[in-house]
Amino acid sequence: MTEQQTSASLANELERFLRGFKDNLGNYKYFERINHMMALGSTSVVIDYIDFDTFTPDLAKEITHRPDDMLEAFNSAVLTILNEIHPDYAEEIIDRVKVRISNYSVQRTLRDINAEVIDKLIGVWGMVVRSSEVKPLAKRIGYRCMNCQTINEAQLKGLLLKKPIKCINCAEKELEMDPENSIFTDFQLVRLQELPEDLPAGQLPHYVEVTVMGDLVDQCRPGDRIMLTGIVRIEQEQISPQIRTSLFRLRMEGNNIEYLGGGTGNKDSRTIERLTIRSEDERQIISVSSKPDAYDKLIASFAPHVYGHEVIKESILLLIVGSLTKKLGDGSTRRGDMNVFLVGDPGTAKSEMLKFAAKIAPRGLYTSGRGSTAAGLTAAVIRDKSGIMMLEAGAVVLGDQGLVCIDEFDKMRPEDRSALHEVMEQQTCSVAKGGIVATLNARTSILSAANPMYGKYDPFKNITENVNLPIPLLTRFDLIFVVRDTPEREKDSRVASHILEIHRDTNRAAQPAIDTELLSKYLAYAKQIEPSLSNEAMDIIKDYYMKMRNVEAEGMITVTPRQLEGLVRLATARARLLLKDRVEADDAERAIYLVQRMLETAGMDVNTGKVDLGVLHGKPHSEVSKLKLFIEIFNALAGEDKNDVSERNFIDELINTGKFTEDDAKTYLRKAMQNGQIFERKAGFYAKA
Amino acid sequence: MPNSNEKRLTRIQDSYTLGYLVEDVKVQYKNALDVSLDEIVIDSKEGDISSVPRWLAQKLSESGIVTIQDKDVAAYVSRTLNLERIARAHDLSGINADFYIRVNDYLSSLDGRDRERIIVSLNSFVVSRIEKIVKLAATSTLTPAIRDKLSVEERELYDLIHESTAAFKKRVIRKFD
Repeated sequence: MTEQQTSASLANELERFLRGFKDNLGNYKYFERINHMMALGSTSVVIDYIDFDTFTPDLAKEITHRPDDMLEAFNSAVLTILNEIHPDYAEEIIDRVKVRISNYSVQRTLRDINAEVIDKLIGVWGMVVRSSEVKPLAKRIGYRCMNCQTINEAQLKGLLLKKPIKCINCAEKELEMDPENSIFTDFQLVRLQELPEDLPAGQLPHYVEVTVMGDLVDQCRPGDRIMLTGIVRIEQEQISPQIRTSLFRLRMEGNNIEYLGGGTGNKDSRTIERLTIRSEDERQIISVSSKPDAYDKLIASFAPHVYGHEVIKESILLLIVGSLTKKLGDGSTRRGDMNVFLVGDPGTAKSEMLKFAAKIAPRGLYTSGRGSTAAGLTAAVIRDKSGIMMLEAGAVVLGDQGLVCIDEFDKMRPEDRSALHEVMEQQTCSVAKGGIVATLNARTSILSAANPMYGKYDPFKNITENVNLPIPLLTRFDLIFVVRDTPEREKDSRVASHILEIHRDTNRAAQPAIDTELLSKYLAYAKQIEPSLSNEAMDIIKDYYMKMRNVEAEGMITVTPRQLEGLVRLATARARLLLKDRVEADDAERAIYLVQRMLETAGMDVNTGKVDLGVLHGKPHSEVSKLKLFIEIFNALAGEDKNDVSERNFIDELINTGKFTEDDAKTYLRKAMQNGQIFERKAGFYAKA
Repeated sequence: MPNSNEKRLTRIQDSYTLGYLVEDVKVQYKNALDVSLDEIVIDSKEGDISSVPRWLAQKLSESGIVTIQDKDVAAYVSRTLNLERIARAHDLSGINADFYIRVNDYLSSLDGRDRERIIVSLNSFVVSRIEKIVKLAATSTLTPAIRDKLSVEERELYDLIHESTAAFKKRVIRKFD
């Protein structure tokens, strides 16, 4: 009886708070929220803990230690008010009304969840790495007695529900479940894992299983960074259905989900990072961007411990900031994220730049190709202990709206690497496995690095012959840079001094122009800028594109529409990096400069010394035209009667054209044989297949 | 003399009516037709099917040149009326923004008895929706979710009720500092 009175008086006090709390504007905030529930079709009311604490500090403290009683009383207080103003709606959602606590100040890291906090309300932050399918959970099951038709109810306790042994009325043992007298709610299991940046060195990430119910289901997806408010529960471990151990498992019962960096629980306001940009930071950011040397300073602040490589550093900064994803009227999108590929000799600081990029980029992740699988990169479907199929997010899904750096790209198994094809162009990741068919967002920029095939980059070979990567994947990179380690006395001396200086005095030598923390905030801030393309920038990009399309009348392709889009992305990213609201002429010019730099290294046909994008597509124009000439001469020698062609004659003819050397001719002959274009009818004589 | 609200509503209805009339509908030609009038160029043979703006389709249909192959309007109206009938007491069923414009156009094409039958159903449909709109508008501003469920005329009614009830509330409960 006393307990009943306590819970009733508790509900009364909470009702007083809900009815009487006024916000700064003098509005009855929570009464209005309850009043709006019907119009919004909502079953929950979100209470700001700070408001609650301001109104009744004593009760607010109680919620940490007695969350079950308090939340139950809160629910009943909301129902009382709702019943008064919208009785029909109250009747309909009577079993589903939930009070959710936001802005909860009792926070712990996932590492600090221990036996002390069992049955307490706490807030934890982390990244959602798994979410299960949605299942109906019985909150109450009615069992109909087959003898007297009495309904015997079984209440949910934890995640267990005990069927009554006999009827409360007639002791009949035959009871049958009656769905009409049962109440079900949506249920989902989610796994929350420590944020990568919170992970202490040398430790494995901690995680906690979270159960979410009702309208909280499907509110977070793998890859989301959330602040979860919930009650810590325990569950006894079972060896078999009969044997239970004295070991218990921790589980959290979700009460509210807020998105890190965003507003309170609204998914749309979910922004890029937990990193909060205060007005003071904003002032500093704007002051940095307004200086005339802002661009150079930003580049100089990227990986200051790496000497030189300014163009690559600039490209990585543009990659982190990215461009805008355009949504077209028909629902399709034009990707705004860029992909950059670095290929080069070992020891040229590629990995250092990748690691630094992952560190400063909002939602940045670093992984190495050698230890990554297709499922680890994209998403995996796994079966939980309870038998529920769950979707586990991989790196590119976790890095959604961020950056994924993949080192040692060439050392990945081809079947694992091929999983990235969809990600890099469509920006989605589709899984169809174990009964789950899902398309996850993977709007991530990819920065990868690889070594050349034979250890060192061969300047006499084209890029596709130097890198062991499939051509379709190579064409998905907006920028490809070849980093070569060529001895140059002056440069080497400066690099050596720089490295030695770092070893002597770490702080002084690698001091960035802009502090790393501020740079990180700067980039997160820049990602929110939405510049529009100016006419001047459009004209410059168009002129360059048209000029490059006409480089050779013979049909050599230097740039394609894919590069045109890449140019727009680069120019927009530069405008964003400088916090401009318009993409101006200098942004377009700089984008062209970067593409030109790429074409001069990776896009150069070593046979002709000319820029030819065919190199990146597998066959440069020079090779295509040589092959054409090869076939023409062969056909001419064979004549209309298709006579056998003597090897010596054929090679001499090829050399006479001036486009083939003896070795060249022999190589082409061998290739043509391998491809099945010609065959050796008798020793030294060939015929067309 | 119509007040400003009515004028506004008429303007909105007119623009939606215009949108409805220029919408393309499929027609099948009963006879061959070769017409070239300003921007309208038709060169069709008997049995051809093509898309033309609704207003033109109606004119051609009145002249007996084409038959309009529009969606089944009778089924559309009946489905919409039924959805409202089975909706919960506080839940509005969703209707198209130009639902009433479509219904009225459909009614004008019917003969007396059929028209009466639909108007009788429409009466209870409108009353049910007004009751829900009044209830919702008194509690909340027009949210995107509710907006999507209302016709253009209903959206105006919603805003009007919301503004009036909010003003009324302010008038009867004074704010004290």
